[in-house]
Amino acid sequence: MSKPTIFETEIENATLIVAPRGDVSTLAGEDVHTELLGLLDQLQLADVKHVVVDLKRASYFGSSMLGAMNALWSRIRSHGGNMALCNVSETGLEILQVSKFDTLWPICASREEALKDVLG
Amino acid sequence: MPAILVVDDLAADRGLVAEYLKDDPELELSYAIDGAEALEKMEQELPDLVVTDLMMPKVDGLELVRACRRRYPLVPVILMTSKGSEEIVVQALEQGAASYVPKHSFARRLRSTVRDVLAVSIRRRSHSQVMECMTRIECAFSLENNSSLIHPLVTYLQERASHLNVCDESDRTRIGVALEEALVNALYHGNLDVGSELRGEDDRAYRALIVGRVKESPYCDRRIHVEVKMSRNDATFVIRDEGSGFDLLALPDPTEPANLEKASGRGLLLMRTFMDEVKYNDAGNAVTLVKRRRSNHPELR
Repeated sequence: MSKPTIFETEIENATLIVAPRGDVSTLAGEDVHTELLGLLDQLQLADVKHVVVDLKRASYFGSSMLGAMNALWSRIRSHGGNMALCNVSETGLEILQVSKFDTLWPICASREEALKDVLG
Repeated sequence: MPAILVVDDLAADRGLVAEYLKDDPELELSYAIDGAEALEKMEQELPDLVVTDLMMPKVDGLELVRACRRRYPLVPVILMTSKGSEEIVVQALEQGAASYVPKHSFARRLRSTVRDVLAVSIRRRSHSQVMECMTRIECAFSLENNSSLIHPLVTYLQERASHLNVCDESDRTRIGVALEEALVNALYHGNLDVGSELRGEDDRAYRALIVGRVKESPYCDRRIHVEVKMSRNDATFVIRDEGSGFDLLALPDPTEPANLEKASGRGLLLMRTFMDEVKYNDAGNAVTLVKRRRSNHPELR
């Protein structure tokens, strides 16, 4: 598989932290989906229970990113895990609110808060 | 006299830059100790060029590049790099840095790089000033089913909308998101006739169908038509595909709790959120998007 270009990942406290490297245009949909498959594979690892999506570097994102976050959430939820978002920009928040995803996922101010949130 | 803001937390390195640039009497230097202070200073007075270190406390060089790109796209940033920072340099260049100079090459390259970047920047700024004199624009495009054409087109239209002062920076982003969604819909759901419900069911099959249809008749013969009319008060974009269209009423409301996880309708929702008006034709293969200048957004003189 080619080197991921859209997302950076790390695992901390049984949580997969997914961080876009920049804005996630809907045009990147193909790449987002390719990399999403890799992220979903990482969720199969025994030590991953939760997901945090850190949007610090994505000033905006479109429907493909919403779809990717939804896929991550569906998978982690089916394993009994939690997902939270953090560092969401003003435009990002608007996108989450209008699509009502803000009702599904906690939106935290920082990565530390998001990690606390998912660990309950 | 071109103003240069030098950003470095180490006084010795700031001094080094001053040393190599001091022989150019046309340059006026000012200094900041990190990205946060640089951005504060830029709010007061914009320099013509920023020369920054990468590793700094608070706001580092990479974040400074991103912030400059977003807030001050006409101010170029040159990076001062050290051994071991290659990966961050690549990221910074991808995110909009104009150039870089390794610290060990200052003697040979700093002055010439500053001069070259300033020359390009001055030309860009003059071009931008002329563009801001524009009062109206009408243009039309006919695009093949090639997704790589969409980003440059959207960027071009965003730039024209900014020059005409139809939008501020945040509305520029909103216009970009809405146009991208409309063009992606026209390409995949319109011309290639691939339904988004398949994406929810079988993502691999969805992608395979797209790859196949890009080369297959009649899909590959279709075009996306874009007509644009912009003035200083509003911008109207008509995006039409040559697909069979769709029934707008049959589209599920993506904000209904039962539909929240379905892939359909999110693009249209974003278009409606970010534009002032979104209308489909009866056939469902042409969408008209209108963005009006906000009443509190200042008019150009």
